Amino acid sequence: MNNKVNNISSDSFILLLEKGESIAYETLFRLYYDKLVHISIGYLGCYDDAEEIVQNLFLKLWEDKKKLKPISNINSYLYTMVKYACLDFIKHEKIKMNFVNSSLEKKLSIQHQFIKDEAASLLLENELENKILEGIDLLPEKCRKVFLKSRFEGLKHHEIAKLLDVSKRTVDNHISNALKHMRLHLKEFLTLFL
Amino acid sequence: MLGRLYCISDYMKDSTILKYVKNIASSSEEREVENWIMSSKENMKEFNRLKAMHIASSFEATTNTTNVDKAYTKYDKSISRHLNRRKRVFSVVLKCAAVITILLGVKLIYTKVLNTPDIERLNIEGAITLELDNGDIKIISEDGTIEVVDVKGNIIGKQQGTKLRYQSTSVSEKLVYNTLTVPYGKRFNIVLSDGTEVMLNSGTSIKYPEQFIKGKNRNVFLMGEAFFKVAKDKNHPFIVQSGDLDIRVLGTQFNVSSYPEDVITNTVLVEGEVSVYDNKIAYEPTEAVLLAPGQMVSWDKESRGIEVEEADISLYTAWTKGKIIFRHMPFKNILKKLERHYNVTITNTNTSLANELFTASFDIETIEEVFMSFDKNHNIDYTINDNQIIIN
Repeated sequence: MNNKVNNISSDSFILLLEKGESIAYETLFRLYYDKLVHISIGYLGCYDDAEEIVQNLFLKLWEDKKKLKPISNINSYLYTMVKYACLDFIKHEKIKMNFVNSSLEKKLSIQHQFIKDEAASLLLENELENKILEGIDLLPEKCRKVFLKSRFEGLKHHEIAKLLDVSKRTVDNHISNALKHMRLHLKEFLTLFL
Repeated sequence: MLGRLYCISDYMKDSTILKYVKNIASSSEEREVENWIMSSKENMKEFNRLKAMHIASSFEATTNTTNVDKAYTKYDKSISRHLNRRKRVFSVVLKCAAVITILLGVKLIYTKVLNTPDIERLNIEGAITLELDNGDIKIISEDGTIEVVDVKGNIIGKQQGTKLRYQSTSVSEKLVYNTLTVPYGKRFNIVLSDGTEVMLNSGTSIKYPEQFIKGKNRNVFLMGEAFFKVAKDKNHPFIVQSGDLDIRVLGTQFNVSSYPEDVITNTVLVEGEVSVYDNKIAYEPTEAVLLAPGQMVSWDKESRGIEVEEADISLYTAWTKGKIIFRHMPFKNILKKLERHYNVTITNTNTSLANELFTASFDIETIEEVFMSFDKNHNIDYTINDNQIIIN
């Protein structure tokens, strides 16, 4: 499991985030969003709050892009961010519900201690990483090629069409498919920029 | 013998814990599990282990119900808003250009809508409709667009998709009312001229002025269920009138459910402050019931009684996200909710079932799947014929 960690963490990816490269943010978002929402639902028991928390988390990631340098493992970083955002949320909820019956308070305390449980955290962080690696399924090859050329070599759609001997419409389709599924291997993604 | 008994009770405990983790335990089961967890360190650890395993093994469930495209669009918008602060001057020019194009587009389509023959008007069953002050009825199609004009011909409201947005225009002196009706099976959103957002649930009708008048309370009339995000305006209280009940607000978020066939009108407060009172009696701040966030007030239309209790907000606002959640709800009430949500007619001939309590939640399921899951868990004998469902 440990060597997988190295797959996900990468300085060059962080560098892209730092530069505010929108494709790096989009990749990260599409890979992680639903999974982080899932963990957050587990922590809070509410879908809407969970979604809001993850949206804010990604927004913060973008706003704080100048401070991302020390991050060595993006998976662990995102997981920790969700964890602390949920802890904060529950703390806030506890204050808000101050006056409420003790049964709600008990529920919040149980949620609170669960988020802080180290064994549970470790399990979830690792499983999150596994899910991400699974999710980075490879795209059909042609689709991937087109996508990479467009996004990373900066070629215009009609130039790619010429190069790969396909119509521009095909290129458009491939790219929108790739963006939609975004099952791009992060490692591959990164080597392109090294 | 003892050992076996122990196993059985242990197993039961596990399954109730699982229910608790899945958020589907009854409140007495919840209390039972919570007490068990709090009773020892080992129990707490065991609970944490089970819960972590459950979360770790159910990622797919959230993946299947999450619309990442939509979420990403939202994220992308937030980022551009951030970027745009730097390019304000440029973007103002762009925005003006965009508004003009949209207005032109709307104008064309609107003329078309106006010119459609009266036949369509008769066939409004099942459509979202907008009734204007002069009695004209417009049909709103969710993938279309219409606009509302005032007497002088100024555009004051525009519909795009599932949202109708009014804007504040010149100072008006007379209240001109529009009524929007949402049929079963559909939902719709309005932004009123003061910026207040209203999400309307299935089978709901709301009457509101095209323009609010300065110096007067902001009054709207509701039948059915709606979620309000009221625009702050201290000088103009916002009042939702629902039958004989008034809900008075300054700026806040809350849900009102007041279907004519329900005896109880529920108001759940999410944020801010609201007060509710019998509108047959003049408003007296000290007499009205004040609601705090997380509380629900129930108004009994028949006995005219008002009761305040703590409520799980997410339960009452789930519909705004297209979900329906029942918690310890009598079967007959569940059927009513399903009828509204899925636009079906349900006949229940099994009277013993009517008052039985159920807990369940649905979002993307079809009505067939909903009944299948009821059948699976509670052995219900039913037949489905198009939009007619009969329970034996």
